[in-house]
Amino acid sequence: MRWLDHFGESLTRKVAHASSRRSVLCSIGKVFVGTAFVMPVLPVARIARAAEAAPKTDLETATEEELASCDYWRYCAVDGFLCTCCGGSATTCPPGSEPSPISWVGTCHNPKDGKDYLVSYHDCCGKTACGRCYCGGQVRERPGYEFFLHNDVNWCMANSNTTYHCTVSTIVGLGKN
Amino acid sequence: MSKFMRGIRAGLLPCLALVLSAPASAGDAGPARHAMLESMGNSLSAYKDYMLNCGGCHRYDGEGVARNAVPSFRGSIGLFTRLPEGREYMIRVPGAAQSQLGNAELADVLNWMVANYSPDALASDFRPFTAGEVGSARPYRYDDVAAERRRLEARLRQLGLKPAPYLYGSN
Repeated sequence: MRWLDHFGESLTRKVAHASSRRSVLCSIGKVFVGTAFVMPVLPVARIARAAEAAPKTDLETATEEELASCDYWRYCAVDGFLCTCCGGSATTCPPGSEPSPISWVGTCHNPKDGKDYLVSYHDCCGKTACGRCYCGGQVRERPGYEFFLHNDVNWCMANSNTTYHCTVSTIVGLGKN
Repeated sequence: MSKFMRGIRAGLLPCLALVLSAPASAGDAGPARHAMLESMGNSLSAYKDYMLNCGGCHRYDGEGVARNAVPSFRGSIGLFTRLPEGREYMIRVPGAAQSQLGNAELADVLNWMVANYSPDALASDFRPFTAGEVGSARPYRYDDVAAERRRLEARLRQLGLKPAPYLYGSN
């Protein structure tokens, strides 16, 4: 590998002899500024354009107030505390809690696009009950003796820590129309 | 890149599926069986019924939660069709029999499940579930469903098959 050292050294020396530091800085700067206008390489510009192009998701267009209200369409069958009010979001558990592997699956109607969606209500587990934003949705629910369609269930029963904290609402797919 | 992937999806995957299903369907009409499984597994209404009535516990991928007595369907549910009493069990198990689904809907969901979660485990002479078959078995409830599940599992193991573990009562 000695030849590589020599090659590198001689190249560096040659460049150092033939050019001043300022001229190198100057030409590198010119290249950067020049290419910035020709090719959109700056990450900021690309992200901004991508965000404009992609249609905003339902959650992105909803206001904070809407997301903390039981009337928001995707909460139609929530029976519990909204994780949005407990340090999480409509679809993510608050730090320190774990989502349940099992869930209640319901159908909610989105008034904005007129479609029905399958929504899965997972409980977040491992912390004591959040106590904020309680919603008692009963869409498609049946009394306790029809157990398979009863949603007053602690879905944390399948977690290692079965303490219930709050509930998230994730879209599974399009529902029956 | 995406064109390449599309090529793979369109061309190679069906070939791969045929190759994989060949040993399972050795002897009978391979293409006919393939078409049957495909139409059973592509039913959109059965998919939605599964998600609303079964997916909450058996999960969207059929994986279940073994440690909490929700057995996996994957590579396993189809094995039960190899025994007449296994087929019956699939209909009479409370989660199926006592669901809100009508007989025809339940038959479609059972067919959808075996086609998607364990097509290679099916009996070689598998016939799809029908509303009639579901309707005639469904009213008869088990006195002890867990014991029946264990009996079936033992019988399948005698045949050298490996149904998904059923851990009810073990924790």
